Amino acid sequence: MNEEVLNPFSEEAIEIIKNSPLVKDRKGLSNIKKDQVKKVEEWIKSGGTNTAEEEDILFFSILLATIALRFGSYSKESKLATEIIKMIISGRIGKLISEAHKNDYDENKIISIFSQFFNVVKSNELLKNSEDNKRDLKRASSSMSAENRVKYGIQLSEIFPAISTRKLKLNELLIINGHAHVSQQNLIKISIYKLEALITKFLDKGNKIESKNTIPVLKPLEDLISKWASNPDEYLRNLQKKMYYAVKSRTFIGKVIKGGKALNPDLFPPCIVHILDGVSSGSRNYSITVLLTSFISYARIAPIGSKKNSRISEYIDDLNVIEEILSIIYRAAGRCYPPLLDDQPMEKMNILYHLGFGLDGDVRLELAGNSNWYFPPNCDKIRREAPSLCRQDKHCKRIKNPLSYYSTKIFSKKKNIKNKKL
Amino acid sequence: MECHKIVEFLKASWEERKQYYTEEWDMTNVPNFILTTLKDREFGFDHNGNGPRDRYNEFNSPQDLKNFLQKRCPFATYTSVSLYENPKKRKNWIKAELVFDIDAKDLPVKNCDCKGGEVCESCLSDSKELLMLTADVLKGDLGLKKINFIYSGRGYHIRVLDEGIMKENSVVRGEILDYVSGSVLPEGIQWKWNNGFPPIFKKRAKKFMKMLSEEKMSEIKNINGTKASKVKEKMDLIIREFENGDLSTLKKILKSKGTESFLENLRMYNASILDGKVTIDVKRILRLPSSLHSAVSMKCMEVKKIEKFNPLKDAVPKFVKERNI
Repeated sequence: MNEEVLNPFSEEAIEIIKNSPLVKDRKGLSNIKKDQVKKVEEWIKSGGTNTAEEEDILFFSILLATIALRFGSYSKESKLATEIIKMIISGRIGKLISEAHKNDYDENKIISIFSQFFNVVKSNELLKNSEDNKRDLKRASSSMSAENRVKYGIQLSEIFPAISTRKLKLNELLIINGHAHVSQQNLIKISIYKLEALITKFLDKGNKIESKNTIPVLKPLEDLISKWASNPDEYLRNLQKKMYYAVKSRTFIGKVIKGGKALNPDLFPPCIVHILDGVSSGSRNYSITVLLTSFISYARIAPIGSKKNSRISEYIDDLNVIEEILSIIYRAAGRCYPPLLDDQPMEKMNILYHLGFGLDGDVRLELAGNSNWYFPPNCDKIRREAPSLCRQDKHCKRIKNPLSYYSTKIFSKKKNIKNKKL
Repeated sequence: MECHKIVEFLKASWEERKQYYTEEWDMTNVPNFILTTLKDREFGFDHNGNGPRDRYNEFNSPQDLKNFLQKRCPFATYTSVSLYENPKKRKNWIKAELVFDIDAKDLPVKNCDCKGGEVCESCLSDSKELLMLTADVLKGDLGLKKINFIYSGRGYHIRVLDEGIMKENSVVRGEILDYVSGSVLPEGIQWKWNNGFPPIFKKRAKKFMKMLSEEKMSEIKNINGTKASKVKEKMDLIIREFENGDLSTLKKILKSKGTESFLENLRMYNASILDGKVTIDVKRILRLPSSLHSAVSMKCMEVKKIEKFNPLKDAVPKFVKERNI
């Protein structure tokens, strides 16, 4: 196995562990040296980078064993460790995929990346005897972006662990003759869920097997994890940042995709209507890059129930939605006097940054989360930053944020329709 | 349609049970998949018609089972779908069959005059049709091969023994149930696939659309009697359109709200064909094929040729035939 470790529970990985000094004799984990623990610590802090394969697998085991033995499978520490490992692995998968995309798109490369999780076969090969299925498959994914096109088949029994996390539904997948046919994006998602299931299983078992007193040397690692677990969000954010510089690409671990809601410009608040008509020099940057970008993106993608610090890719899987949002923003930028992007082309990248795509200047769903997806600022902040934008109407008095202006109007519109019918 | 209650579903007496187990019952009628794993299964018995209170039994050989059945002539006999290292304590679970249960008395829509809880020939044949649709999905979509049909006495069981599925937990089984029953309208890809509706949903919904009476339809929210009779009149056309993911005639009659309720009801019918509790329970006990369903005096039996099977001929014990003479 001369490749990056993606699944520390794969048969190859287990073989390596078996031959390591860790399990060579009965003392097992007590053979771990202090300096190894130190190295694990550094390895986690760096986001799991720059490690030789064998050592890498060993570090995963030490981390998981520590959790299993000292904290148990339902602890916040185990949740944190699971998140850390998921993050490390999705970072690696993301990196491998972007490398695979650098040259000609080669399905075999993608297949080999995921071979540590499943035996992936090209859908066309599996369906070669059924022209009907092949044609339908093509039609089903014709309007999708490359990473969402259904191309790969996995045997169902290989995805059952992912199903058991309750995060993946059979009904989301295309199932024919014992195989789920999925896209590259699905492969990432399903691998990470499978990994999560394997970790849970390991922690459940590990907790029962070993005696807790055999491994005093793990104490420093335990203390460290306890400290992180008391503030996991901050810790994970730091790790994310570090990993961004280390791998420069990340994949998403998304929820079920909803696709957002079509915009209804009639319900926009006055400040946004004003910006869409074009604003003049002085408040251009703030209006377009900060306010309009955040407002239009949330209004289109998640007008109701969006969470702070979320990623666009948690809500949509269709890049066309981003294109739609960008075209509205760019049009409004063009109506400014002078047109914003003419004299400040750099603002284009800034807009993407505010949507959460980082500073790559590229729009790909994997990039979502490389920067913060900015939530629309509150009204009082807008009045402070760009007083000329605020032209209150009756409804404005009841809300504190332009997005809630929009979302409450959507609600009351629905109610009105209901009332009229009654 | 009028109900043809060919067999009167009467309780079997102690003497009849005795006659059944000594004269008619035969070891060869116990399915092979149970005989070969007999020692690993838990057995449960209902001795007086009050439910399977006598549980945690195990049998070391088919002969032991035979002796027990002939001596006690239980009102009902059950065996676990699960295998254990220690079945007597229900400990060290090894694996379990994937099972589906269709109860003819609980069909959500009936073609006959039977009320909920009653069964006639028509209910039984509708159940068989739905059973075969379910088996098609298990084979064609999920690629399962070891599928066994059991007539339970008043409905059907499907028992799947593919190795790849027997170790799976309730969560996975629940997902399979949702998929197989067409009870969840999927998001994403499947909607585009097959013209708008997933094939399973379509097949089952079609069956129910044919069965729906005007009366039953007018009970659906947002659908009144006039609309229901219009839909019934145009049902053939509506079904043809539905096959292609087209709802235009339906929408013309029912408007969008009525159509929504109509589809929601179809989804609900799909969901209620199979008894979900049975599928997700990995320690369930089911009637032992070959045993007597004493409440209705019918045999619970393995069905090898499901297409030709007619419970009202093939699952009637001798003593019932003699009753009528």
